Amino acid sequence: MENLRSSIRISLYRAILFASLAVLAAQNTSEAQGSNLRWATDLATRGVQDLENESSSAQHVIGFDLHKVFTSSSGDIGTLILQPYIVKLHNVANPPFFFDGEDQELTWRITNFNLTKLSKGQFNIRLGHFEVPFGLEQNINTNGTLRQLTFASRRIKADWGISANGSLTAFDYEVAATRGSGNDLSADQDPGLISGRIGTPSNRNLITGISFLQGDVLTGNGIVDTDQIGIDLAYYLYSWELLFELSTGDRGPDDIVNSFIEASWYNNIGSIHAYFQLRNELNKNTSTGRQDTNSMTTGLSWSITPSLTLSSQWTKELDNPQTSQEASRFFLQARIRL
Amino acid sequence: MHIKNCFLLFASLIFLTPDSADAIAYCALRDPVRTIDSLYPESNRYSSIVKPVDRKARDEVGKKLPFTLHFNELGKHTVYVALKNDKPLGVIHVRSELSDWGLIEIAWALNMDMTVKALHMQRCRNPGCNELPIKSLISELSGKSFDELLNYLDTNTAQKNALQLSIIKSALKTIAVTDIVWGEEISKIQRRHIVNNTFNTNKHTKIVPAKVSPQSISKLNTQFGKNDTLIIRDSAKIYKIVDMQKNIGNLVEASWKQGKHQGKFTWLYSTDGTVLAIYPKTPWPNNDIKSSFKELIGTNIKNSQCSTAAQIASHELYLLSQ
Repeated sequence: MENLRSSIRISLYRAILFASLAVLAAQNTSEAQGSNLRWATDLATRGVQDLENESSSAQHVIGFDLHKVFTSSSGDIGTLILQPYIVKLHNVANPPFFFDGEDQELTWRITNFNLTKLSKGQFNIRLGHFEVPFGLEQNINTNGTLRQLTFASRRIKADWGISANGSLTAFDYEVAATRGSGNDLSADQDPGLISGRIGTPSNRNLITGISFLQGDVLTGNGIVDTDQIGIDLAYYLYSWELLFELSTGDRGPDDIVNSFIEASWYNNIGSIHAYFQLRNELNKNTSTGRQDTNSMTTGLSWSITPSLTLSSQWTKELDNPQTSQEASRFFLQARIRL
Repeated sequence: MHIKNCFLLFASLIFLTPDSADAIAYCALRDPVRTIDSLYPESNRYSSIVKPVDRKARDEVGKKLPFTLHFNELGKHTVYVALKNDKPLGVIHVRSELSDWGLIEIAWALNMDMTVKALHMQRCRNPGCNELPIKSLISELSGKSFDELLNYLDTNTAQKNALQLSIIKSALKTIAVTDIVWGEEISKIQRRHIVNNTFNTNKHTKIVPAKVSPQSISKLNTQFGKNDTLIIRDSAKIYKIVDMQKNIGNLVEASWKQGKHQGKFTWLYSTDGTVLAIYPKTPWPNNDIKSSFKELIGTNIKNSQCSTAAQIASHELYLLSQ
């Protein structure tokens, strides 16, 4: 039985791979006819070594990344992004709750349609699965990368829903009403979330923003009532990038303050990126007492070709009052886009 | 076993990896909305055109310039046509250029005749981008054509620093690659506007490509000889304007050359032979040449003489379009 399942799984992966290559070839033909279509196959494999427990786990991902601009003789109508990804876990101790005990899941990483024709990109309506607009995550893409910023403290990265978004002369904005269930649209519980960020233009060298998030977030431990506000800052000078985010509010019974800082460096063609992050979560829950959780992360990413990226990262908990042992994990990832 | 399979999969994929793949996940792509608005404040919409920039395009740029695109620049890219209703105001092409302090992102605004309108340093981590020499360079580049930029680069290389040279080269590459890769799509928008602006069009009005007929070639050879005069006959592209299955006009795009001057333009004729419009696709070399062509608008080719180069061109194009 196990052999049969394994064969089916391998056949499925092969079918997806060949289908993607076929569509890719078809796309190259249709591109010449002005289809405004981008399409890529995205494959990644990631290994994680727990340096304290001396255990290892892995995650393999195969997916499609489709970007299509619908346009007419009177201008652009909107943009469709479609990113179905199959995620396969091996020996992962605490998988995301939407895996429902399985080790394989179809996820819709970012999948939405953004209607841009209303006001020359200044007022758009987005519908689908998109990043919850909050803090640094709004402007910096970390989908599929080892490097992550601050979404973990909010327990949600992307969500199903609707948003109003746009770029005006002085600021960018996005305000969203979403399901609160992350990847799992069909969750039978009834969370719900509103969130938003307004910030200075994302192409500047100094970018600041303020964000809010309020509602119920579905997590592995059930629904968590969340209410947070935050400020973020990004500063770029020569080859350096400095990021900072501070957020505060309630997460379930906890009164928390999260802070995050990252310093990073790029080489002049942007193919090598080295970063160092510090995170702190201050929990002021009066029943359990004040608790500080600190961690540091350092990582290196190298795009050997435009299609192939190797990344490594080491994360170390500096102190964690909820466990006697501070976790220390090493990550390695190879990612190819075809 | 899993590790071995993964290794084999990745090893084989490395060999399959194309040099034109996009490293960036597509959810990270953003339209330069603010830049379009600041460079074309009168626009009320824009149209995206996504095209692959491949090795062939790179080679063609290399034939036009003493330098060419880096392999990292290959892949799918978007140019934006700023529109005022259906009128194309210009083209926005955002390019990344290498500098000593990382990639700089320059949004180039090109006029429809492929001259530089303006540029906006969309992303530059070097504080030097805000300094006076760069700002004065930006104003110097405004209005320049490809040939003028090439000449400007030749005569100013010694006086310019690395960042300034990078910007000038970026302008040249932008115009070259825009013309090579996006030229036809931009022309399509331009043709639609010319037709809409001249005829009382509706959704049934179509611009249909046509071939030069043997009879037209025969007439041309009889009247003007077999050799090109001013019009480069092989470059001519003919379109019939069809409304409710009735031909209401003819549009011709062609290259021309006279002495040291050359260019491309689009002509629109009525079916009775009246010149309805002439639009340059490259800048007019000077005002005299511009006037000699523009004064033909409204004249009927059947009643006009062939005493000037412009009139000869007008007759040739009309015959080609029949």
